[in-house]
Amino acid sequence: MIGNDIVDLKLASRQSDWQRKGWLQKLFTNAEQRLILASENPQLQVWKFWSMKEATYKAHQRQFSLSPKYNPRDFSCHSDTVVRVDQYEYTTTTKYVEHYVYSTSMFNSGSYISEVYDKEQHARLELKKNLSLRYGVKLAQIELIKDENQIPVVLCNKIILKDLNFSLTHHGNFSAFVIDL
Amino acid sequence: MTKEELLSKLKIIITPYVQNQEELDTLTEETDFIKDLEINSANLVDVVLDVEDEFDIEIDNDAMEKMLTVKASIEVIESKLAEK
Repeated sequence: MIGNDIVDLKLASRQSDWQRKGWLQKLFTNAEQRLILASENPQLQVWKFWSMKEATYKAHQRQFSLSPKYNPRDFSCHSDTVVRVDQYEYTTTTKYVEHYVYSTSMFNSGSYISEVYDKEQHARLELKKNLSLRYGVKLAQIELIKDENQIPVVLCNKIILKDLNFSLTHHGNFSAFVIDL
Repeated sequence: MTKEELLSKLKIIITPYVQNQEELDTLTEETDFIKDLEINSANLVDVVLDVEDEFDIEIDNDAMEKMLTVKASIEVIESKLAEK
């Protein structure tokens, strides 16, 4: 299973005050807090870890069809590429470019396509285009909806494509999708 | 504190983080913070911290993980107030 998450760094610095009393403690494990505070750029480290946790949350939620929960501390970053939740270990990749941080997280290694766009809703459209080519159907026959657990699913001619492994994210000026090849 | 008072205090707390103002105008117990109000997930922790300050309660991880809807948040606040 796969998940992704993007953080628009400019918007994040406006929306969140990571130095607010209690903020780090509620979202990050003690080990993560130490790494953040010891980092050369603590704010950037906050959003790197955050995107790793969020991407893994999405992969984990899809894997087990879990109902939504707000439990970021349960997803612990053990290196730049490993996030653990319960007894499960996910492999993450995180890309930091000037204006954003972008993470993908996978349970089983495999091949996937991951694309970032500098417009908020672009990833949805591009994912639909990808699927319409893949299944040889018109763009209008592809719909993106959310299931009862708020997990995105694809409808093709009104029928749910079960087991399609993908994830979407957007924040501020950026959006991205990731999907199994 | 009545449920109405609680709801109106909660509404004031969440307002700065809401990105879908129309849904805020028609707020009910069933309203979902992320799905309906489009509150950024990184801002949910601010809602939790504001709730702690406003009601002088401590919200542990087990309580925090439920606080995704108005209804669940009110239940958490009521139970923490009752423990005081």
